[in-house]
Amino acid sequence: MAHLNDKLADFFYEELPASEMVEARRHVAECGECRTHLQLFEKTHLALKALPEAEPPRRVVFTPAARPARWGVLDWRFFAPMAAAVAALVLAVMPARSPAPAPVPVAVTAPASAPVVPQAQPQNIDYDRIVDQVRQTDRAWFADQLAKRDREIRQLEGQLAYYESYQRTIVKETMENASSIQLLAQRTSSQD
Amino acid sequence: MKSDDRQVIERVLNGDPDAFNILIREWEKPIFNFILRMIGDRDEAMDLCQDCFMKAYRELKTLKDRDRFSSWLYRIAHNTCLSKLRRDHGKTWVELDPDRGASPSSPENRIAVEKALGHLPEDQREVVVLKVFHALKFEEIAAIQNAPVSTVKSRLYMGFEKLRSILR
Repeated sequence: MAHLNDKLADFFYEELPASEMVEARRHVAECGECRTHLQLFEKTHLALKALPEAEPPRRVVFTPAARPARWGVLDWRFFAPMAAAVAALVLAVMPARSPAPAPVPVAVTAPASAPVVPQAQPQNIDYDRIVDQVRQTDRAWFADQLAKRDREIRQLEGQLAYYESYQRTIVKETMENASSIQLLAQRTSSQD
Repeated sequence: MKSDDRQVIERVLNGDPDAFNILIREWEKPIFNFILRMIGDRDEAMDLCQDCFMKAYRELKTLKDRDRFSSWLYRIAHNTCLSKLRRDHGKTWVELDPDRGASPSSPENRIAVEKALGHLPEDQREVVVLKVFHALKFEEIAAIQNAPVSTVKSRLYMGFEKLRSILR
């Protein structure tokens, strides 16, 4: 296999196809030049990765609010009799429930330390639903954390394989060097 | 994509806008951190993060592939940052925040790296941030930046190269 070159990042982040990954690992174990590039790349990655994550200073809480009345400037009493008549007519002609107006979203920010709570509503609060939502979120969070750990383990396994093969290469080179030195020493003594 | 995002999206689109808070809770921190590393100012990053979620809610029905919610959300954050950086042309570095606790291991190193990251051009910084801190695939970053995968990789190499030369 040729040098990693523009596939170095794909190799490092394990985005090469499986077959190429195996081949690339083998190549890296044998190629000092690619190993050096890889080590430099890893060093930069780790230096960045060491930066801490920031906590948001506030929390965004999304509260769907009712759409404000379009005719708010006029007195409602003016329209009351007319509205009553229209409502009666509509109810008589079409008793089916009409769809509710689309809610207008309002994002309000709450302090980061405060728990995320829905805005106080005049109607009964469905605590079961809220608890269910929180549980669902927690389950998703745990699943995500597990997936992250799995990914980390896979990366570490890859790194371990790389270091093992690197170690084998070093041992092999050391043995070769030792036998060369031995040979040289024998030649030197025979010449003497 | 977090496991339950798809279901939550369905709920929101089926008339349960409160469920959007679940998505916010999942994605607020990563999106805030992404914007913070692009903009550099915590308060502004928080405001933009909020804008980003508002846009996401409004546009949610336009999301075709619901399994790609995270990439789509990062794309919105990318556009939000881009507009902000264009408005504040020339003020694109990441400012150091003295309030943030320094890492006990090597604070000087951390500050140097953070400063160096802030000196990268926006497109390179974005690739570095999305790849290193958010572990996005090259294809996902390419979709966010609306650029070919090869360009994204070049930006990463150039970004790393510049970081090395600054930190040397």
